[in-house]
Amino acid sequence: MTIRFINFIWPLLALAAIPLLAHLFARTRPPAIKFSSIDLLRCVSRNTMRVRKPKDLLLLLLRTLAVLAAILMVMRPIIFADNRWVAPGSQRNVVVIVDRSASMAYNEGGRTRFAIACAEASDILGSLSANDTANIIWLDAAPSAVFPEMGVNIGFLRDNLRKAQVSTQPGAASEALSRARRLLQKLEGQKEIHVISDFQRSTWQHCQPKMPPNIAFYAIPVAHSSAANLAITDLHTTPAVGLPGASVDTFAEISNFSDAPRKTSVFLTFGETRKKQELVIQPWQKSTILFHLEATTKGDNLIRAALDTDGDNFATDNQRFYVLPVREHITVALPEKSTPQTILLARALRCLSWIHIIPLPENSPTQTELSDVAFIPELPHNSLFKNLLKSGQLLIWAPPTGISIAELDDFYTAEKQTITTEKAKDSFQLKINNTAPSLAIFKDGRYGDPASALIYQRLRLPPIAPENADSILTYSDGTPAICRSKIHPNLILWNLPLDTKLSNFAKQVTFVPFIAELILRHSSANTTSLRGRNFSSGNHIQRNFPVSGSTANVTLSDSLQQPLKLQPSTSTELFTTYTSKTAPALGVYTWHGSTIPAALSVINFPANESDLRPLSKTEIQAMGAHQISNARTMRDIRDGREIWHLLLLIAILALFLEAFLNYFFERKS
Amino acid sequence: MPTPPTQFKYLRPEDIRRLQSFEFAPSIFVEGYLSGRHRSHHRGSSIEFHDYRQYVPGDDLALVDWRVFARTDRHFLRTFEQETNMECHIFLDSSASMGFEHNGLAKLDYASFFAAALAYLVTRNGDRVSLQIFDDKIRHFAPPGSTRQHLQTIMHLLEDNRPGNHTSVATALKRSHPLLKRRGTLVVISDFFDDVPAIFNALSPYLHRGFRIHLFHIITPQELNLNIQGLHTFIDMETGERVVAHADQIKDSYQKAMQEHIQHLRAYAVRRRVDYCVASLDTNYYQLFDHFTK
Repeated sequence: MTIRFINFIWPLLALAAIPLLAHLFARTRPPAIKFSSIDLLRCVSRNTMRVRKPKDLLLLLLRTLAVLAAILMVMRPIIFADNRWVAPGSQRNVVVIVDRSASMAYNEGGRTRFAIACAEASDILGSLSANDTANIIWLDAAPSAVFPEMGVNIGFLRDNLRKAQVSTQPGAASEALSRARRLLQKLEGQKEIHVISDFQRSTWQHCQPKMPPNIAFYAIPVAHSSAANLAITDLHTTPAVGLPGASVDTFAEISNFSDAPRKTSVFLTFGETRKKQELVIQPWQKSTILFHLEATTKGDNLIRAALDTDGDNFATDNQRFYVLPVREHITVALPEKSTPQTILLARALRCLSWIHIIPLPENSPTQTELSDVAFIPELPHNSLFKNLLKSGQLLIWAPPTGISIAELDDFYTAEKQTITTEKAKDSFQLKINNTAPSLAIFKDGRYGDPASALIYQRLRLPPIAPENADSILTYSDGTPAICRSKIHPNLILWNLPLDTKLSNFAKQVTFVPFIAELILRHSSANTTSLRGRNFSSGNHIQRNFPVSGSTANVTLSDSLQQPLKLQPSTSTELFTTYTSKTAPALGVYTWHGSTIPAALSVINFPANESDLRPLSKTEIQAMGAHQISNARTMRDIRDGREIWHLLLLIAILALFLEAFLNYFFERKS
Repeated sequence: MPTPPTQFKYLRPEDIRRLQSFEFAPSIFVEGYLSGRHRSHHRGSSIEFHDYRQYVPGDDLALVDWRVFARTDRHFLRTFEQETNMECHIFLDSSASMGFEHNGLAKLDYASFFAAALAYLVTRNGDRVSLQIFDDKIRHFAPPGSTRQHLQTIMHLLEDNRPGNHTSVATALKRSHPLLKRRGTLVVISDFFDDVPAIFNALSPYLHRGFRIHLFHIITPQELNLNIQGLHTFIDMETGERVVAHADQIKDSYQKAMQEHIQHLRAYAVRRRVDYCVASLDTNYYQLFDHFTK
């Protein structure tokens, strides 16, 4: 804390000694009187003065306090809450970061957090003088500044604040702070960054600003309570791609961000179908409920899940959309070169009417984008492998022998052995993971037991750590048979020989349903051809359409048929990519074009914005921020606060107390 | 009976008139309390000459002083006192503290009035009185006597007396002890601002010899009650030391301490069978004589 004086007349301080001098002089010259013997007087007064002295001292103290307070009041002191007092005339350069992420729409006692933030920002800007420069950075998914450089048009900035609206996007806090630092980098004078935010934990907890010492960093939290919220945080289907007439399991995840259990109803709409389920969710827990739907219409089908909004102050995240692509076929690519393995696979796949088999060319990278699934037995980590992985399709990969296990970095870390095969004395036993979705149909035994197959030879692989992969089938000794990588969820490791000399797995009646379930349950909607449907707020909508004739008239419109601007399209051999110019708001968007089928894209509420818990004061300060309660406090820090009225009150109180005590002591004596 | 002069400061004509009518029964002048006055004019080598009186027929011719007859051609008889005549020894404190006044009357003046009256009464009865004026030492000593001239000497000593130095009752008593050959009555007139046990230790030899002791504690109402208002610097009249005190604040405590001091003296006096009396300056000193009749 710093104190400065407007009228610092230091000789006035000497007047504070008046009460002390009066006290001393009054006591040293009392009238003299001769007395016969003072022995008794001395003895008695010694005892009495022990009581008298504290009273005298107290009165002296009060009088001195009153005089001192009056003198200081004349000097007009100003208190500055920290040491960042700037001499008059020096320039201030202020960047105000205003959080307008989705959580700022929460209603905090009659006003949204965003409205409070804009008011605080306006107050801060209002404290600037004509010499000072300022800028506002809006904190959302792509933080942007109002001015490209620091500007002096404070009025324009305040106008911006008046007109601003909260977004539905998440916040990129680190990016916003970096931008603010860059704006102030080359400036002279006082540099300040003010962050006005709810300091939502999910946005800020990993933010470590590392402010340079010449930049004052202030945090003004606008979240005054840990707001309760109920939200749909996820909606997805299994399989990711629907087949006409096939059942689709739709999973809706509901999260309770509050201290009390919540009961709610979940409504699901899919075409003409409407379903409802009720559930109770415990505090700070998630619950997932399952709806069974049947895909009928080919093309993009919209699934909508919504919550009962009663009692929820933050309703924006109470609905969610999912675009389910329904197609006649799932395209499976098999290597052009036939091997016993691929022949057996092809035979099995042809049993499934909804599978369309295409050859997998080794030398045509872009062709890999056409398939939804690719079987790649014994393919090394080459460019084809990388293209396939990048395309997002389901990759079922049997690694070749002779390569190092380290190349299987999607499954292993720090293993240096070379992959070899091993033969069983009798046969290797399989063990299924009952929780794997692709094995659900085998639970009741109707479709047999995939683990009953006899395997005579396999790749010698060490067990895979659970954090690296989800097991589907393993051997009884822990060697992986079929498992899915957690690093690349579209990559499945295959360690089951299909050659009849090496195993009888392909001869089992369970083989075809097993392959079918594997493809259905693990296929990804994120393949090149299937992307572009489900987005989180803050992202641009981007969609690939197959190359054909003229694509110039492809448009994107919102639910009110208002067109959105698109960036110039880009094309590959097989697809043309269209991207929205801006990140659209929440909602359902429709693609139109003469040569393209009806297509949908949705923007959903960002799930991490549903947890409205803010950082604690300690955590904010750990970021290096000087936390202040509001802009008025900020103004006090900057401009200081005059305290003469406080001193006047102190002087009056001291005099009053002195008079009262004096009267009280006199009366008592 | 000798006729005393009437021009003394502490023995005025009105005092004499009042004292003459004073029924003074000096039980103190007897070896025991129960005998009344005792005086004899017996001859003997140890008999002390008392006075002359004119011869009247019937007197013993052996008592005629023929040398006086030879000179004056008139017959006078010599009269004598017996040694068992009583003696009263007055100790008058004349320290600086006795100069403290009440309504213009100093404690020393008050004590001198009392001492003068006592001396007159004693000599009027034909008994002997001595006077010792002391402060921290014996300043004046008038040996026992009963004549008119002796009384005059005492009056002059009292008139010329001024407050002196520090009080030391014990020292005066100790030093006087060898001077007092015959037992009698000891009257100590003081403000007793001294060490109480030391005073009574000094009185022990007198008690042992059979003296009858009376202590008269001279005190002013202000010394007793501290009837002063406000903050003052109190200057000790004997030492000159100072103490600053607010009289209102310490009054209660002072009165209590003073009473404790008086009680302390009284307690010692009772234990030693010494008569003790507080004599305040706002009471007439004649009332003090009542103590002698108790």
